[in-house]
Amino acid sequence: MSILSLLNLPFGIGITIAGVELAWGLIKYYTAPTPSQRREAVEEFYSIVIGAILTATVAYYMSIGPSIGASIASALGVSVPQLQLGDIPKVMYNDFNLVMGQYITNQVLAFAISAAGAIIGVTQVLKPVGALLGSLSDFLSSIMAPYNRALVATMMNTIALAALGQVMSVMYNYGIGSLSVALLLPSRTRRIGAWLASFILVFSILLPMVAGYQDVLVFNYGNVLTMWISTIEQHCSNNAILQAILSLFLNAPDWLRNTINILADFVCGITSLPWLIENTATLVSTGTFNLLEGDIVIDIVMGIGFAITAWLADLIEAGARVLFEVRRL
Amino acid sequence: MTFFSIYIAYLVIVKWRLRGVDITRELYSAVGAFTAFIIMMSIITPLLSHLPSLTKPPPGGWVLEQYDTVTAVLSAVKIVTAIILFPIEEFTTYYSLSSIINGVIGFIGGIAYLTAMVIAMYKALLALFPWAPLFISLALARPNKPGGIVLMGIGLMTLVATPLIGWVASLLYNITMGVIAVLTPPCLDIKILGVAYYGPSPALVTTSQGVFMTNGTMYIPIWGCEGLQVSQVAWDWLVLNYTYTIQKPGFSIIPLYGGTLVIYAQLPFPAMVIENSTGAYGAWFPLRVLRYWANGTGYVINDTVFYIRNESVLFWAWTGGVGGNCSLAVNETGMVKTTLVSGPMVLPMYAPLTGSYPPSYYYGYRQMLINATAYNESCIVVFKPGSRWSGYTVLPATGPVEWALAGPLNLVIGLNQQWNNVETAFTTVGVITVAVTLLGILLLPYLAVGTAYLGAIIVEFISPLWGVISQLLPF
Repeated sequence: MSILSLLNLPFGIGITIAGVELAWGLIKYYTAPTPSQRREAVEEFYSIVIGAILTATVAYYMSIGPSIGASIASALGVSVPQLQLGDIPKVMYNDFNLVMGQYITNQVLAFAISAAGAIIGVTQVLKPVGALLGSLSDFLSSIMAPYNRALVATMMNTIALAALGQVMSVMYNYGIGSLSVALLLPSRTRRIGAWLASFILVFSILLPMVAGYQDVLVFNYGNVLTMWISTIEQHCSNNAILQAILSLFLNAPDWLRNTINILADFVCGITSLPWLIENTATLVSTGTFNLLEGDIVIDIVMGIGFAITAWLADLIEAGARVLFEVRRL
Repeated sequence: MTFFSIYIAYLVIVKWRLRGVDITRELYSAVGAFTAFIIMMSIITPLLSHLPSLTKPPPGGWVLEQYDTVTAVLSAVKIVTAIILFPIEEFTTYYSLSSIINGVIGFIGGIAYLTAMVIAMYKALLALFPWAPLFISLALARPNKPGGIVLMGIGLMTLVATPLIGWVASLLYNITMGVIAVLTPPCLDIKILGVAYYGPSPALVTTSQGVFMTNGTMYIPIWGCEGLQVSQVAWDWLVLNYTYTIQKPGFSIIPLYGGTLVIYAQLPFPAMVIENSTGAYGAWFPLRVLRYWANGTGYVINDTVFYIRNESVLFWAWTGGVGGNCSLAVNETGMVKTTLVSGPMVLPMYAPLTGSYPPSYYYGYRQMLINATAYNESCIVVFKPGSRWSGYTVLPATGPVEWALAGPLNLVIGLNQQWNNVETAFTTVGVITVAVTLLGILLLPYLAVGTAYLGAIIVEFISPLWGVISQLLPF
């Protein structure tokens, strides 16, 4: 990052306060009647410069947090994308949507097949067909049950990370990071300043890293249901009888054609049972376990992150007390 | 170690020598904490050797894969059942079977998910394990603060819980795989076989994949990977002579259909069957007319009575007894082999789902050779019915259905073998982890005072030496 790019950093309300204070310092300097008051104005000017440096440093630190996080993850053997703090809520929202979409699709499919079975089963003659569809629905629900649980865990994680990302992004945009350092100066605000500074120090790196990891997890294992259905579709595209039947519905409304397509694919899958079971078991189990493991890793890492924040806050507070408190001898 | 070295070096070089701050109290605390850390690790490290060693994490994906396989086959059994029950209007059997299978799936789903989660947690803790001393040292550096307490908790928990959770993960893996292993299907290929039976009915057909009654059976589910052999055909506890063949389908749009099992069965000779609407009660047959006098005659009156006049007839009978108003010579015989009936290999409570079967043991039957002679007289030979033989298959308990209905029993057997281990594992891990973590956290604030005293003693003890060293330092 070049020096000029520092201008792109969000200095937030800090720059406004600094500008006002700088202007006030200049006025004070030129209108001061005594040298001591003029010295006060110069000191104020210096404090603004120090404040500006501090602001830039913290904002810069927050802006390079994602690349530090990615480097740390890479050193630990995990490749994660560099997510800027402001992008985290959006990325997590997209991930949540994807995962939720899979979850809902699964539930809707199971429900639709089961409901169709129940409706058809009302007719005495078609009762067996109803039972058949009910079995198909149970089949879908059962094999996807662990995966659905993992999806719920992933959704919770994406929500938590999106919320934290929102907080961090507001902090970044409004220069709260720099403000937190400033809050270390007065003794009354030192504690909250220490907590904020510690939180920013830890989570500027940790949050993009963990959110990136979550994004990779969702990208790789968040759409197992879609992949599974695609695999079945691909497998059944060679089934001439099935394709002939489906071609009869080419002019049917979309919803009907899609429903028949999915049902036909499932039925086709069931007819080549060993292939379906082997394929499903491998695909679903790998996705479920990796998603589950990733979720647990994220939960543990976030927990440790908060513990380190608390620990560091104490340290920062103690350090600030030593640095900024005037000792009266 | 590195952390404490840096911290103490910072206190001495930066704070004391460069900035001239009085660091006595901080130095006491830091040196005390350092010493406490060394002491604590010296105590914990040998203790760790008594905990289970850090084993390689079991393959959690494999557990879920096995779960998915068993679940998919169980679900496929439901589908096949629905197809087989197609001509039957009552679906009570289907719904009962469905709820049994759902129960099995729910149970193994829970245990498989728990196992996968514990394994995943173990893998995560394993990555954290090398950092546990760092967390403990960070906590000891600031023992009275909330952050320090939390870090101490994390450090101790990681140190103690990782091997224990690893042990639990392995144990759960073994248990789950043990349970799933007893449920594992012979193969993934399920087929439906049509049944065509020609012979005395209802017969009990015993095959290599289970038994069924011929009444009510149009299709049987089988494992496609295993051949189907008919090993016995019985009627009224009599073993019939039989031949069978499996006619492969020439063409079928339903790949689940595996062909038709055609069975021809018969007694060694044609027989008169004693039966009514509730079942069969025996059989008999006039094997041969031994002697024939003038105007001799003999004929069947009904299924229990035979009339002779001026004849001597040899009967074979499988009945409760025989009587007549002429000379009868009765000899027990074993001309036709008899058998005991073993019903479907499913839990007794589920047997009614599959249909009704004859009792295991026959009673009131005798297999006899009877010589009835009526010279110059009319004779009525009356055969007494034996116990009832009947049966009707609702759902053939063969192949996959037999396997699915035996599932709950297998589950119980599998769990019984492992249950003691489960109890011990959970108690041990819970108690040890909670105890050590709580003890560490509770003792942490007291360590602050203790470490300060300890540090003071050590610093004061080595300070004369420090006086000499400090003279050598350039700052």
